[in-house]
Amino acid sequence: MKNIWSIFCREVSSFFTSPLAYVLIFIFLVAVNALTFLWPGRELIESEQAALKDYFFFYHPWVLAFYGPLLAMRTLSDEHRQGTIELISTMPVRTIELVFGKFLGGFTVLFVSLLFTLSVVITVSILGNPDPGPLFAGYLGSLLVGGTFIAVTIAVSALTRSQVICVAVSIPICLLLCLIGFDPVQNFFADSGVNVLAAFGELLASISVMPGFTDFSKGLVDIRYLFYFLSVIALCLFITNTVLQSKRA
Amino acid sequence: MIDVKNLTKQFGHKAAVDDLSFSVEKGEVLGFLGPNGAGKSTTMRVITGFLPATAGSVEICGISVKEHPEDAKRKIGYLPESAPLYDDMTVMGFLKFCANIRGFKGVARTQAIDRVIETCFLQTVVRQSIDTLSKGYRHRTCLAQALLHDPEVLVLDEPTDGLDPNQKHEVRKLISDLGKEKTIIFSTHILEEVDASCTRAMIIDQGKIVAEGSPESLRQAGDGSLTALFRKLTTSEVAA
Ligand SMILES: Nc1ncnc2c1ncn2[C@@H]1O[C@H](COP(=O)(O)OP(=O)(O)OP(=O)(O)O)[C@@H](O)[C@H]1O
Ligand SMILES: [Mg+2]
Repeated sequence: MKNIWSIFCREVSSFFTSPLAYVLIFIFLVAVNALTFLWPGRELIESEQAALKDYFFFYHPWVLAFYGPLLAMRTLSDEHRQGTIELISTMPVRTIELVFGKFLGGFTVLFVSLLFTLSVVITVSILGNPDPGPLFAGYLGSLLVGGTFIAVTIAVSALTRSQVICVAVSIPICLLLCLIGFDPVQNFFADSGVNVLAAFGELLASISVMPGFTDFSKGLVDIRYLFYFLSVIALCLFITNTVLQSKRA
Repeated sequence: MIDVKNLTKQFGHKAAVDDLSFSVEKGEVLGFLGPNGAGKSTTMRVITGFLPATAGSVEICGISVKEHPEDAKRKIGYLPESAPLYDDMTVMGFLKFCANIRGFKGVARTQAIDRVIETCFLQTVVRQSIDTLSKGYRHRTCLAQALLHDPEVLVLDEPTDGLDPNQKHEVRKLISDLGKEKTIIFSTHILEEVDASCTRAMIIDQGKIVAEGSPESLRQAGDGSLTALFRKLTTSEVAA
């Protein structure tokens, strides 16, 4: 436990000492605000309906598919590039503690970034009157989707010492995890009329982060989806652990 | 103490370390010599538990590195070859992080850090960011990390690499001082260091021991010069 805490603290402070971190958070906030207020959800302000679900949370998975990998790309790539993996692996730390501490660090940065998006919520609250229930559930959904993307990125970053390769592989994976459950894609499979394709569509939906996220943003916290997110995260961290251990063999 | 038995480490089909056996007792300083690519760093990486052995076993103070890696690692202080450091931290931040991982708290932590800052002459750079350190200071910061928990066993991969002559002298002195109560193995390409700090030396080539003994006995085998012995034993292999 103590090791996880030390690694977590180092991870968070190392993120915030890099100027890149602030640029990233800034771009993230600009993207979230722009998508909510400018394009194409301008009606949000005009209609004064606090339809956060359709204009705010709607874009979260897509923005997070870029933001998650960008904020987590250094986690293990840097350890390999700087050779510090040799240092930390020869200290009395278990690999899983290292992986978990790093994940929690990235997750916390994500949490802080999402807190900043509350400015959007506050704006909307002045204009309309959003329900606190769905709002809370929506944020939980964003956190879980973001956490999943961070875990995916960490698993990829264990495989390469290059941050560029790490993001170039992670972003498409995360986008794919969104896309395969995206309504237009799902409709395509459902409307195809071919049984095999429809079944395939359902399979894709069960892998995607979208069905769970959509439920959360409606205010429905389904325990099965909670379980889905947590198990994908656990699976990615387990893969990372295995990769790190076998890489040296 | 370090006990290495029939250690083999293969990368693909190539054996970097080939059936190596030796042990280092408490109070001994073993100098580890050999040409580039002989397998020195690989041996040390297996001893410290960074790389798993292909075959054979390593015990640190009677603890198997394979069976109880955490317990064994607690006994070891390790300076890796390239002196890796977290570039985005300050020297102080880095040492604090390492001290936390080593289980230090409060006053004990401050004392441990102050002690290694003094032994490694880091006073002038404590607040400096690691990515702005000169090579020698980087090396000393990494050495400081290895000494933090006052380990029973020290594994130092080219500890004097990149140091100025004054610092080389200090580190050699430090190694021979520490060697009185600890078990030390260090690798080097500077043969004089064998005389300066070792109680015993070992020359390896292509993963195998080619010569071993006290500095005097090795010098005798080389007709009075360690360099002559080193060249005689290792260049022939390269030519072959
Ligand atoms: N990760 C690896 N994958 C493949 N081969 C490796 C790996 N690490 C080391 N080797 C090989 O193992 C052999 C021994 O390397 P090692 O680094 O132990 O040599 P060394 O004695 O420390 O040399 P130097 O004096 O240059 O530091 C070399 O031939 C090297 O190419
Ligand atoms: Mg080496």
